[in-house]
Parts: sequence; C-alpha cells; structure tokens
Amino acid sequence: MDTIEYSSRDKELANKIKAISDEAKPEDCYTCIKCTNGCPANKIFEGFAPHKIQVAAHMGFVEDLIESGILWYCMNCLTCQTRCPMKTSPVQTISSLTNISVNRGIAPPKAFTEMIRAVKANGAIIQPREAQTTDFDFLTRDDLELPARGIKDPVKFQEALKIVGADQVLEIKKAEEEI
Amino acid sequence: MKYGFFTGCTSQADSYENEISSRVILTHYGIDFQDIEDQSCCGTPIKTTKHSMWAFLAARVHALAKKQGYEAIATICNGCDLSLSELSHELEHHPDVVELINEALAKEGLHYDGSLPVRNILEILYEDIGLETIEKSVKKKLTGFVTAAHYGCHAIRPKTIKRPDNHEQPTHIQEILEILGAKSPVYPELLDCCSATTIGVDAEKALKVSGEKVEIMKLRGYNSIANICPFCHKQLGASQDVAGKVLGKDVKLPAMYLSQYIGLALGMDEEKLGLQFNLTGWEELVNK
Ligand code: SF4
Ligand code: SF4
Repeated sequence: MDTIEYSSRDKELANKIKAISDEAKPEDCYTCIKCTNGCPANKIFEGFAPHKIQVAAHMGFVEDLIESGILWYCMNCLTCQTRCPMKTSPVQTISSLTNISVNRGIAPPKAFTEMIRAVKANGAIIQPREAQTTDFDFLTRDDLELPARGIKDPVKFQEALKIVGADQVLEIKKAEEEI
Repeated sequence: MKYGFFTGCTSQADSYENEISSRVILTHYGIDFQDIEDQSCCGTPIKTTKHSMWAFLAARVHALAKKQGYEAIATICNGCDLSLSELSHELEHHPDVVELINEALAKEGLHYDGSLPVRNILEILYEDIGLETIEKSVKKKLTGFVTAAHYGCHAIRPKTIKRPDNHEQPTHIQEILEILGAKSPVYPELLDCCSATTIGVDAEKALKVSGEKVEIMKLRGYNSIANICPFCHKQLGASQDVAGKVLGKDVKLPAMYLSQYIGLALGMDEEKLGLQFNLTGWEELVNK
C-alpha cells in the first residue's frame, strides 16, 4: 500500500461534508463492511468500496479518491445508507466529495456537465426529441398532443441557475476545452 | 386531493409511454390532477455535481405547485419522487442553503417555504385507488404473464424518509400485478439496481449490470418485466439490444410500465397506453 503524504490531509473536510450532508457521518463508521457487501458498484468497479471511502473521509485523506475519479462510479442506489447499522451514509459522503471536487474546479464526467447545459437551455436534462414506434414512426410531444414543456422565462431562469452554481460547473468545462 | 402532475425530464425524450399511460390510468380512476405549469428538472441528476443547484431545482417544483394551488405533487419517476420527497428533510438544518435558493427563486417571483406532500404513482395506485377498486375494474385477466417486478432503488430507499414501499421487502407492484391476473413471484435479484446513474460514466459496465438482471429474469422463467421508473425502464427495457451486444447474449424480454399492465387488464386500446413506444416485443404476449 502506498504511504499517504501527511500534507495531503484535509483537516477541514469534516466541516465541508457537514455543510452538504448531515447524514454522511463518516466519523461514526465502525468499518463493519455491511455497506460494501451490498454495494453493486463494488461488484463491478475495481477498488470501489464505500466503507473505505467512509474511513478515508473520516481521516481527511481523500486526495487520491478525488483525483482517481472513482467516486463517480457510485450508482446512487442508497443500499449502503439503508443498511448501515451506525446510521451513517456512505453515499452522502461520496456525493459530498464529488461536490467538493467540482467546487474546487475539477471537472465532473462529461455527462454531468452536459445535463447542466441542457437544463440551462430548456429546463430539462434531455432536449425534446422524437421517439420511435413499433411502426417505425418518429413522434414528438406535439404529435401526441401532450402539453408543451419548456421554461416560460428562460432569461430569469438562467439568472437563478447562475446564483446556485450552474455556471461555475460550465466554466470548468470551458477551461478544459481551451487546453 | 388535488395533485400537481410532475412528469420529469424523461417524458420529453424517450419515455412518452410512461406519461401517456399514467395519464390514462389516473384519469380512469378519477384522480384529480393537472400539470404543474412551467415545470423543469427535479434536480436529481445534478445532485452529485452541484448540491445547491439540485436544491434549487427541487424547490422550484414545490414553489410552482404551491403557487398554482395544488395540495400534493404526483410523480411518475422514482428519481423525481425521491428528489422532491427528500428536499425538506435535507434542508432542515441548512438555513444558508434555503436562503441561497430563495435568492435564486426570487428571480422568477417564486419562494420556497416548505414542501408539499409528494406521491409516486405506485402510492397513488396502491393507496389512493387501492387493490379492491383495481380488481373490480379488470376486464381481461393477464393470465399469460409471469412478470418480474422491478421497483427501482429510489422507490424503496432510503429508510430515513417515507418511501412508496418497504426498503427490503417491497410487494406493492407484485400485489397489483397479481390482482390483474398475472403471476409475479419474488426473486433473489428483486432489489438489484438497474445502474442507470452510471450510464454516463461507464456505459459498458452499466449495461452489463442491467443486461445481467434481464438475463437472470429470463433464466428464472419470467416472460415480462414491470417497471415504474423511466430510468429503470430504459436500462431494463429500451436498452436491451445494446445490453445484449455488450454481454454477447440474448437479453430480450418484453418490458412495460405498471400502468400499461393495468390498462391492458382494463381492456384499453394499446395505442392509448403508449404501447407503440415499447420496442421489446410485447405483442405476442398480449395477444396470447
Ligand atoms: S455499514 Fe456503516 S458502519 Fe459499516 S462499514 Fe459501512 S458505513 Fe461503516
Ligand atoms: S449508493 Fe453507491 S456506495 Fe452506496 S451501495 Fe449504492 S453504489 Fe454502493
């Protein structure tokens, strides 16, 4: 096992996690591994183990986890939180850490940036499109006479999104593209 | 109860059949609902990236629904349902976040001052309408169906807030299917995740997870799948072809929404249930 550089310890981490989630509580984990035993991401992504993430977060050594990108492999199934005998939530620790990494300017996987871009454009993560039928027709909401969707006042909506941090994420992506 | 109907992002693209069949069934049973005007994403897909944006989007739905005079919100996606349900719980000790989202909501003349009750379609079917009413309305029993229920993680977890069904032993989808005349026995993989969340991170692995779940359903003798969530339905239904290619196996199994099963048992027209959008070969089963 690699030695952890003491200098990489984030002593403020507990507070940063608490600012996002009350239920993460990595400090209460007693490493029973029940979470990891029921974790679907653990079965398929090598090295992904929620109990280890809890321990690393408690100690404040999360640099490797953040840099490796492994945290994004969580399937968000909430099994770990539901089964933890200590009522901690590994999934909320993970989600707090991905947020912390984005806040620091590290880009999330492209799909997440794309969803934010789409929400900003018309309020939904997916652009309206045609769906295929068994008769090979391609139909839209309009064809089906479903109520129209979309934001009434996109400008105001986008101003609101800026306040809650959407643009910060999109700007990370831009910086990456410029390289 | 006057419901504000929240359809979510997926209805705009690949899940018309979910919205169409939900509307038809809710209307049939006299549920009082109307679309929440100006609705946007529930926030859930953004939560791991930007927590404050998630909170804003979820709060926006509640603020709109309240302003438009609804008493509760009806959802047809497990992701939306959890997002809107967990908001007040998560914001309880975070007045700073509430302040920030209200500053943002004010741009559109909105304000968040607490959540409305949120009800997943499964709860509306099982609790508001009830098994007895559904049973009485069945015209054509679904006797040829041996259906694997898939609840989806967000309909049953977490344990810390009220969810539509039990977190380890859910039964409501199966109870409804059996009332319709189908068989829907429990199976060991019932609770397994569809892996939709990681489709944008590692598509191949995500499809391996969902494909293997469909494969095991087939091996256990099921001839169909019932979903209530459009994300699960995409993974376990629409994506069967690609999942089959990833696994190098045939993982084709008719997949339909629970509301479509109900509609079929009520003798409703297939097109009215949006079945023309289900591309996993239900025709043979239905016409059996
Ligand atoms: S189940 Fe809870 S206490 Fe046990 S290892 Fe996981 S987080 Fe720690
Ligand atoms: S929520 Fe994430 S970490 Fe927890 S059990 Fe599911 S995949 Fe594993």
